[in-house]
This record gives sequence, structure tokens and C-alpha cells, in this order.
Amino acid sequence: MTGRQLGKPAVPFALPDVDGRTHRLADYRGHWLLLVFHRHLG
Amino acid sequence: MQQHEHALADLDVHVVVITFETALFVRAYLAETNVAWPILIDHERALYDGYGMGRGLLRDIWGLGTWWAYAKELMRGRLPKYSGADTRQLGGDVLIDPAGIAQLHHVGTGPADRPSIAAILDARRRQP
Repeated sequence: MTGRQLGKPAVPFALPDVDGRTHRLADYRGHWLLLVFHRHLG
Repeated sequence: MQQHEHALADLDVHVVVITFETALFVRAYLAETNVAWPILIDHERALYDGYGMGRGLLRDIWGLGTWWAYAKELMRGRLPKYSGADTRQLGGDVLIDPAGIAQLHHVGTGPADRPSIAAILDARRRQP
């Protein structure tokens, strides 16, 4: 199913990794970024 | 997806995995799989919601596509695991260009519904 953000600005985020380091959408500006949303790990 | 790591890197695509599971579970997953990409924890599922990835219907989660996907894993010698997690949470993929625009946005309707790597690479190659 094609989502509603296609062709629109990406949703900003600021999320921690497992070590507590925060990753932001802005950190990837200027690069291609693929977000892979897991349903659940395992 | 991991098997296509080099194809994505060759096209300068950074990959970030988003999960809603706990850090403890993520550490165990990393120890088992050696995923090279960052795994970010969206415990509140705000980013999931932002991209329209809510909770799926049981008939979609446990439909024929799901059983076929699990059968293929079994044929590869990989046993599906019971995770105890919220199996109704939908997943998906979003490809964002350097200007911050979503060039691909796929919301899975069930476990087997993900874009192919070819579709992702095509979306990437359409842009310079």
C-alpha cells in the first residue's frame, strides 16, 4: 500500500539507538535514507 | 534486506531500522543477527504513526501471504520464532531523498507485504 507521504517531506524524527545515541532525520540531510520499519524483531 | 547491503551502499543509501521493541530485545537481536545498520527505538510508535503504520487486521496478519512467507523460511532451514511482541504492528519502508522528500513510502498490510529490493533500488535510481 502506497503511503500518504510519497512526494512529501519526510516526517522528522529524533530517536535513540540501543546505546542511547540520538539519531535525527536532519543528520541524514544530503544523503539518501531508507527507513525500514520492523513489525517486530525476530 | 541485509543481503542487499552492498547494492544500497553503492547507491549511497543509508539504512536505518526502526523498531518499537525494548533496548534489551534489540541488543539480543543484534547479537544474533549482526545487523550493520543503526536500529532506532520508537517506543511510543510516533514515527510509525507519522507514516501511517498502525495495527493490522488479524486476517491480514495471519493470511495466506503470511503462511507462505513462514513456509519459505522453514524451507530455508530458518525456524520462525515467537517474539511475544505486538505482531499486529504494521511495518513498511520509506526512501527519503537528499532533499528530505519521500520517494517511496510503502505501508505493509501484513508480514509478507514489503516492497522488493528492486522497487527500492528503482526508486533510488530514478533520481540523480
